[in-house]
Amino acid sequence: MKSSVYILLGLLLIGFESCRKDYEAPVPYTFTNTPGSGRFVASVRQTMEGVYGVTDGVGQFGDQVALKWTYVLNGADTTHYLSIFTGVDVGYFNLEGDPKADNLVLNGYWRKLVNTSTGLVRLTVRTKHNGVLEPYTGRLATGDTLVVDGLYGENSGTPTQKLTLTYRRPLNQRPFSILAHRSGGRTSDLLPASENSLEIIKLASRLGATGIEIDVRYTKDGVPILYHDNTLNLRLIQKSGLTGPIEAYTYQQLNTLVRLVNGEKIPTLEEALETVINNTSLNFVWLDTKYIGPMDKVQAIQQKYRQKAILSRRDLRIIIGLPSTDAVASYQALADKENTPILCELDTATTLGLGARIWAPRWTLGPQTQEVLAMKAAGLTVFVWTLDEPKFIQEFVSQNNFDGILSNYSPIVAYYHYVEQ
Amino acid sequence: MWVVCLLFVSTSADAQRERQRPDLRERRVFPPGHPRYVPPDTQQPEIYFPQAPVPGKWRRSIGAVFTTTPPELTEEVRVSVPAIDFNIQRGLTKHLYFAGRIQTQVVQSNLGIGLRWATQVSKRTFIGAGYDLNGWFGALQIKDVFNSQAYGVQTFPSLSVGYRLTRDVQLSVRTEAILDLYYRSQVGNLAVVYDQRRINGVAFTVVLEQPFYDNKHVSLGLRAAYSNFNWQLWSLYDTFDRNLFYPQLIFGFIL
Amino acid sequence: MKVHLSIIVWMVCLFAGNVTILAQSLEQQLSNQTGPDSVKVVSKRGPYTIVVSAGSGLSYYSTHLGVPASLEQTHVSRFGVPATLRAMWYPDHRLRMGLETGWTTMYSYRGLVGNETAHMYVSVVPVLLVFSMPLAWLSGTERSIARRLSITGGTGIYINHSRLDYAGTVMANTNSLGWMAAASYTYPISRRVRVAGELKWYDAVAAENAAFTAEVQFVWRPFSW
Repeated sequence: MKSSVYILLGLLLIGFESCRKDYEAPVPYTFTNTPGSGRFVASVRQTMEGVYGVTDGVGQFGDQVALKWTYVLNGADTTHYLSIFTGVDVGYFNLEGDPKADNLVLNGYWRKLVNTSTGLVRLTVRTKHNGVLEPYTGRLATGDTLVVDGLYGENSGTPTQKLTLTYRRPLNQRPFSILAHRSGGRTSDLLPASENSLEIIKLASRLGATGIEIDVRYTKDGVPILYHDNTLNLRLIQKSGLTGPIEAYTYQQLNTLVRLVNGEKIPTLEEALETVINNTSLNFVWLDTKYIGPMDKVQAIQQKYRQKAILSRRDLRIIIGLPSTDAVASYQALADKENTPILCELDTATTLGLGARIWAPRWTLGPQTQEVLAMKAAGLTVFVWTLDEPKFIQEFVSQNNFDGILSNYSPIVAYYHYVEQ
Repeated sequence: MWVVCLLFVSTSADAQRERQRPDLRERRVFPPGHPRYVPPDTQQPEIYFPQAPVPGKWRRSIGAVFTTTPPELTEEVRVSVPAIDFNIQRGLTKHLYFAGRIQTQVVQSNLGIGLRWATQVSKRTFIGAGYDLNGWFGALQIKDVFNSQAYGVQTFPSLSVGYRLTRDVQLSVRTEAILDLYYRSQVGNLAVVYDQRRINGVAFTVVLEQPFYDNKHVSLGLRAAYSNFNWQLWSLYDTFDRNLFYPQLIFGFIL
Repeated sequence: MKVHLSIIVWMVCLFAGNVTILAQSLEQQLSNQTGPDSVKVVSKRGPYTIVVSAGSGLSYYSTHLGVPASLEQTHVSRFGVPATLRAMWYPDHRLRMGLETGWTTMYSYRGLVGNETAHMYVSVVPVLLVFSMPLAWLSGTERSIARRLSITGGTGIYINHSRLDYAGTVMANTNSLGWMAAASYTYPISRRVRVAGELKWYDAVAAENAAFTAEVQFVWRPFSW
């Protein structure tokens, strides 16, 4: 009897251990990344953007979605992608035009960020003319409605389930900043690229972001790099044995021996801003001050890339974020504060006293409607951070007071913003 | 963990061999007056072991539960968060008893009440079933950081098996389902409510109860909760729709 | 938040300590009130013993190990020589409690980056609260195998230490929560001295460092009352 109890206990523990899952969400689709837009010429892309009603696929993706085109630049080449933002479980689609198809065909995948649900998608863009579905040629007659329909699947399985989207109205055009935390999103959300990597910066727009927040630290030899945590740890990097503060290591040591969890190198701040300007359409970069000490190197880089953006005719703001009194002290110690726009996360008096252009309180303080309206009346832009809870995102967007939301879940911020009427 | 399992299995084999010899234990019962004398039919002090207190009698324990935070929520900060843990039970009938529990970390607390039914199925083995209803609440007011409150209701149907390993050591294994009934979260003057019933996760508890020093008994155990939401981490606003692992170390003095 | 947590820990410790002291004094009062027989029973409790053990042996790093892909001609070592120091309180029942620390090599590797050698060495210092139980207590004598065998489990902090020699030397530490499990066989030498063999699993969970150790331990009972 006694041994059976021990065995039962052992089996229970083994069973429990076996039940624990290692979560992963590999992208089931390999993008061709063909430069250009193929059949999806500018007029087609422009007319396709909007809020669509969902008929087939409501259970999985909700009753309406928002379609938005984005692009990635690579030298003279521009590659276009379609994103679909859903209101269910922070769902999104990433699609590209099928260059081999005769019609307007989109291939890609869907994913829900709160869990590991994902799958392949193949959609066709058509127009409903007099109640009959016809191929879309880029011209819509009065009364015609765009219909995007096709099939979606689970994981890497062949798509078999119907999805039908019918155009309802244009996207909400109110200016609003959708800011992606940690350059695009958290590593723990199992995104295809690591947080604070060059790869996720290129992906940010496709996740709905119009801007990004990046975390800046210094290496031992004074190179500003992108890294969030205080220490080298397995949440962010592949196992190599290196531990302790990232500031204890030189750039050469990190560059040679450390890789982020998805295999990328830790980028320098200069590499990150170069990527933003050369490869993306992002219009806002928030440099979060994770270091304690002089700010002059970051200021110099901010000013250098601001000039580069101007020369490239890019609508891009690069702002230094001040999250703490230490960061405020570093800012105040700068010899010349000209052309150094700042964002302050502290209280309203400190923000006004510093002459910051942006105030960014934590969302856990609530909507703070009076303070927000007062700051806006004083000419400041007001963002809230880091808001990931979908219901609260919906409430903050619908209250229409903030100018932007910083979130790990830019797809759901994009959804609630674009469908807002 | 596998090492421990193997060890358990191998030692049980040894114990089996020992038992094949004449039953020394029965003959080595300590006489009345001896400090280790146990009167027949005496209940050992116990909180987790599935055995009802004598009807009308109370039993209590005070201790701490240490919960290790999952990396998905606290990221590089991995800590073992302590909560004061107070249990109270009262026998209602021979098999049925009331169970109450308070866990608190000052800024957040959990109050549970439940009914348990337990019976003896062999000389050493006991089984039990329980249904607990827990209300939790938390509030954080920190300048420039938090102006938040939240509360919720969860329910825990459970099954327990208890086994008297020796005269002085009792092993209890409990399996619980964790069900969410209600959740309300407020920041500033803005509140959201989730009131759909849903399965939150499961938990397995293994507890040893035994004398520790003098006549003082302790509960020492591990609870492995595998759940979507944990009330102790409400202020981190978990958005993952996947079960996270919350190991807990339980240590309680039975009063 | 750290300040709040430490306050809670201290509150729990103080409260638990207070409760036990109260319970003890109450019990003694009750014993005194209920007559000389009961007093006799209480006075028979014990003995309480402080047991200190120190040991060493061989360790084997027994989980996955990451060597940077940029290194060529790599050489990895998973073996080390651990050292353990443990102080336990043996009350008058089966369950024992104490603290354990020590030092254990986890692994080391070296390789070439171009013409330059890179060397990495990883070790841990555990600081653990441990509980231990002999497999037999009321039955048998110290001659029985079951009384000499005991299992030990613990939890606490591992201080993970790394030393990198490449383009300079960097020594750094990171704390990690973790646990340990062990099984030991203790052989009595004299009234105060024992020798034990122990198989042990160290797991620094957050740092994903784990090692299996086999040690011979010198066990000494300096105080007993």
